[in-house]
Amino acid sequence: MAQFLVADDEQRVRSLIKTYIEMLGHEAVVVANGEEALRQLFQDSYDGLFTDLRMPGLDGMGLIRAIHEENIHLPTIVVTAYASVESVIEAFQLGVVDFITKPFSSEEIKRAVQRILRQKIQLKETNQYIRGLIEQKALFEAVNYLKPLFSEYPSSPIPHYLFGLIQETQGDFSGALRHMQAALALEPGYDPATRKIIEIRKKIEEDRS
Amino acid sequence: MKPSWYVIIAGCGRLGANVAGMLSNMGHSVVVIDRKESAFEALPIEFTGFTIHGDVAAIEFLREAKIHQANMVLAFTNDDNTNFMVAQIAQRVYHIPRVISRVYDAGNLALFHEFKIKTLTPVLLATGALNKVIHRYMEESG
Repeated sequence: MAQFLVADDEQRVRSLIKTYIEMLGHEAVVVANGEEALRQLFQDSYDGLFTDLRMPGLDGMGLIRAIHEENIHLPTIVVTAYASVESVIEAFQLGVVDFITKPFSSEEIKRAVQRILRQKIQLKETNQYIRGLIEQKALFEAVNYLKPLFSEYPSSPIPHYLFGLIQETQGDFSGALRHMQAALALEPGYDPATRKIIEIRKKIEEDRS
Repeated sequence: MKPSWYVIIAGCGRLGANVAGMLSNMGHSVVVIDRKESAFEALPIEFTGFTIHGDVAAIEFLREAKIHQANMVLAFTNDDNTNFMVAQIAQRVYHIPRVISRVYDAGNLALFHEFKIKTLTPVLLATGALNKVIHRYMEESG
C-alpha cells in the first residue's frame, strides 16, 4: 500500500482524488495549499503527490519548486483546469510525471497512480541490478548505470549507498564512508547504510592496526 | 476497484443537483454544467464532483467536460429543445452508451422516442405514482 499527498484548494476535488486513491487500496492525505503540503512532506514520507496549480498562498508551481530545491524525490502529478505552456514546460523540467486536466475520471487517477508506482518499481529493479554488478565486480558498468540515478532520484539514499558499495569494493573505505553517511543524511534510519557504516569503520580500524 | 462511471449532467436544477449528489456519493465522477453559476448552490454537501459554468447548447462546454469519455449523459435542463440537442450530440456524435433526457412537455415525447432517446417526464411519473396511491385508497375503502 502506497501513501499519497493531495494538495488542492477545492474541497470537492481533493475529496474525489482521495476517494479514488483509496478505492485502489492506497492511502491519501489531503491538504488545501502548498504550505500545508510542504509541512506534511517534512513530517512524513509519501510515494507521490497530486497537486493543483492554482491555490491560495504557496501555489502548485511554488510547491513543485520548493520540493525540487529541498531535493525531495517525489513523483508528482499536476491536476489542473488551467495551465499555461510556460508552467507545463517548467513543471516537466522540475520532474513532474504527468498532467491531468479537470474534470477527470477515476480512470485518469488510476493511470497516474500506476505511473507513480512504476517509477518506484524501476528504482528497486535498477538497485538490484547494480548490486548484482558490484558483486560480480563489474564496477565500470555499475558506475555507468548508477550515474543517472543521482539526478533522477536526488533525494533517495539508494544512489549514494550503491556508490559507497562500489568504493568499498575498490578499497576506498573513507570515500565509501562519506557516501554511506550521505545516504543516511537523506534518509535517517536507512538500515543498509547504518550497517555498512559499522562494517566500514571496523575495516578502517583494522587497516590502521 | 468497484466500477466508477464518468457522468455528465446538463442542467443543475433540483433534479440535476440531487442526482449529482446521489451519483458522486456512490463514488462516480460527476460533471455538472449550467449556464447560471448560482445554480450550483443547489448541489448538496455530499457532492464531490466538478462544475462547469457554461451554456450546454455550446458544444465547447461539452468538450470541456470531456464528453468523449462519459459513461452516461443526463440532459436535465429546463428546456426540451436543449435537452434534445444535448442527448443527440451525446448519442450520435460521441456514441455515449447511456443517455437520458428530461422531457417537460409530454407532447414532445414522441419526438424523443423517435430518436431512441430514453426519457424522464416528471409529470407522467407523478401521475403514475398518484394513480397507484388512489387505487390503493379505493381498495382500502372497499
